[in-house]
Amino acid sequence: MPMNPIISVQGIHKAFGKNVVLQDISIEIEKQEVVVVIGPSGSGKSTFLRCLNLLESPESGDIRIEGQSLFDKKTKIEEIRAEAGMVFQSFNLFPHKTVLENIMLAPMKVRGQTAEQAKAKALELLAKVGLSDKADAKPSSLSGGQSQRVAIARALAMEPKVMLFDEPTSALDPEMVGEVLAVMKQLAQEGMTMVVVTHEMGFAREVGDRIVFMEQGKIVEIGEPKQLFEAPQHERTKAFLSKVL
Amino acid sequence: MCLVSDFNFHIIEDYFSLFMEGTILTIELSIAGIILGSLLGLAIAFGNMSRRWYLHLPTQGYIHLFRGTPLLLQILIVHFGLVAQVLGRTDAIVAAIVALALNSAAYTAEIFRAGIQSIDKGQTEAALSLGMTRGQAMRHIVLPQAIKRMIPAFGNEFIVLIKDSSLVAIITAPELMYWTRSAAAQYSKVWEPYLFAALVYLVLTYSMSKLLKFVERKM
Amino acid sequence: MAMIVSACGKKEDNNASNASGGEDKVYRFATDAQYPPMESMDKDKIVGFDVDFLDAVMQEAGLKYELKNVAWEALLTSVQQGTEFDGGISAMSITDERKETYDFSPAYFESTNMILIKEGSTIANALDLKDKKVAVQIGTTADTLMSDIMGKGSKDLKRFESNTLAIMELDNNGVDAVVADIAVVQEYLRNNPNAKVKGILDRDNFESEYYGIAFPKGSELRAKLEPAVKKVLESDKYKEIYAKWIGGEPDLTGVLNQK
Repeated sequence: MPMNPIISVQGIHKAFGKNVVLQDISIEIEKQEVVVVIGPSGSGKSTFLRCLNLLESPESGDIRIEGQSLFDKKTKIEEIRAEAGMVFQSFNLFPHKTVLENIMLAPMKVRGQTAEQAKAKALELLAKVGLSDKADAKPSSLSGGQSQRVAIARALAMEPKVMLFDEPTSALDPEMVGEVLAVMKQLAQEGMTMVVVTHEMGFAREVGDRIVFMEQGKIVEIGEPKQLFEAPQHERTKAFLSKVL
Repeated sequence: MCLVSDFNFHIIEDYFSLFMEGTILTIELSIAGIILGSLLGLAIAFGNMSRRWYLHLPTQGYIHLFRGTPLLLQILIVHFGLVAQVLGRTDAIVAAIVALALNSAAYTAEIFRAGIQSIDKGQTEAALSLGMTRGQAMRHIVLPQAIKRMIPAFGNEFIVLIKDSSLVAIITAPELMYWTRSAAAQYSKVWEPYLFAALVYLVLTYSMSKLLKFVERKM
Repeated sequence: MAMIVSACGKKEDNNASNASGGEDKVYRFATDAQYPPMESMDKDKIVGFDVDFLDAVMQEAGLKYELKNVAWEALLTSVQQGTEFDGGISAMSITDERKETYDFSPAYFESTNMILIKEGSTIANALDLKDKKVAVQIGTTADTLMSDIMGKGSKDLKRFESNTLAIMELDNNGVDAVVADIAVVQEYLRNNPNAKVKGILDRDNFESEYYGIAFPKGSELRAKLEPAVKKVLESDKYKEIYAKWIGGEPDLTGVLNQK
């Protein structure tokens, strides 16, 4: 297996006050790999994900993206973040802008693209997620599934090297989960490196290259889906899976 | 009622043009106050929201000071203690604008803070995750949404300013209240000029609140 | 027998219980105690010429009274209405305009206005003030006089709430002169020997004024106090009060010749 980690996490430790949320988390994520993080509520999986683009700051440990440490004084955090697109559970679309403007904004303001360039790319991405007809709509007129697909397009507009998904379907009505997962599956097939925190076990099994099971701030087990789902090595993994599968 | 039959309209007639000049100055002072006060208030709001103690403490202190002392005193101190010292002579209109702006800034700072903090954190997080700086996130995402929410509070502050501006009569800035008092003193008659002034202030504040509702609906 | 006096705005009706007359009644007077040496606050006491003079008059008349500190404009209204106060004593000049609104006691004090200017100023009389900046206390005869000379709408005539503020304005170079009652100016000069200011008189342009106690129109009390006022004017007590608060000997020829 080529040891070509795009993200390298070493010994991350995070606490909110007295509450220890992440304990000594280490993992290497390969280019084009799809890593799915599962676990019960409060296991720290979202916090872990948010450390990867420094929306949360760990107290100790190191995170490197493409070899560049996030904690290096010379690192411009905005540049790192631009390389790691994030999709949130509650979409976080900008309500005062149209769908197209949502997607165009960051490329123009952060990368300095012209409106024409940004618009062309935005239309392309909207087509990719199947929402070309919603270009001039306001986010408030979209369904949950549509909103999340726009959010994915928005994150992709910055041409990130890795996409981070924080429970992307947890806030959706069941009938809309499929359309979002379909987009994510397509992204994976196109070779995007993805870290996905989710409860969607079907997706994990089908699309994941590796599954990470977290509990109480620690990584309990990592394995390929077939192995982890069918023959989990740890008791706790077994216990969790028996509840959710 | 006797009050009506005794009402000396000629006092109003006599002072009418001065009342109108004064009203215009009242409006000008209020506008200057809210604009300058809001600019300063925005800066103070950011300082107050900062985690750096050397920004947070002074701005907190500013807000407490100007919200916690009577505007009347602030006007006197600015007139005699600040403007006169800086310019070497008094200037009632400059002092009025400065005092109203300084006072208004303390209130608008809180309006800004409440408005900005009312915007969901997720908005900022989304902006940051796209590679924007905090400044860009504030400018393009948070402030535009926040300002829309703050419009009622700002409109209200403006209405308060219109009424508060009457206090600058004490340093003889020739706005409406000043001429009202002058008319009352000349004729030793209080009701006529004061009721007329009350009517004018009412017209000003009422128009302002109507305008505010219109703007709110448009946005 | 109680006389029911009705005038517009007066809400109180005199009922029979007042018929017992004056001895137990406590008359209420108002003053705007921001005008030393006529009246001012000494911590929480009202002191001044008017205070001592009123005391002498009420003692002479054998009547009980109380004196309250009230803002000038409130004093004007409430004495006019006569409900809250029976009279006002506050260095009020007797003018024809004011006689339309109030009844006055006999004149009890002569005053004239004085011009307070910074040392080195070229102002020599009231007419020199025409194109200068002047501060006055609002509603005083200084206000009326200067409004006549400079025009009542003049932006260069600044009407302040009190002489104190007016003088502060002069101090801070906001005006070229303050015009105020001679007693007020003398008091200021006495208390501020180091201030580089001087006072000039202008008897040609500033006529003398005469102070009176103001009563609501048709006031009973006014008639009651008239003899008392006259008595006090001619007494040594008056000279004493004058020397204490103004300084020197009073010249009562003008006062006694009034009305």
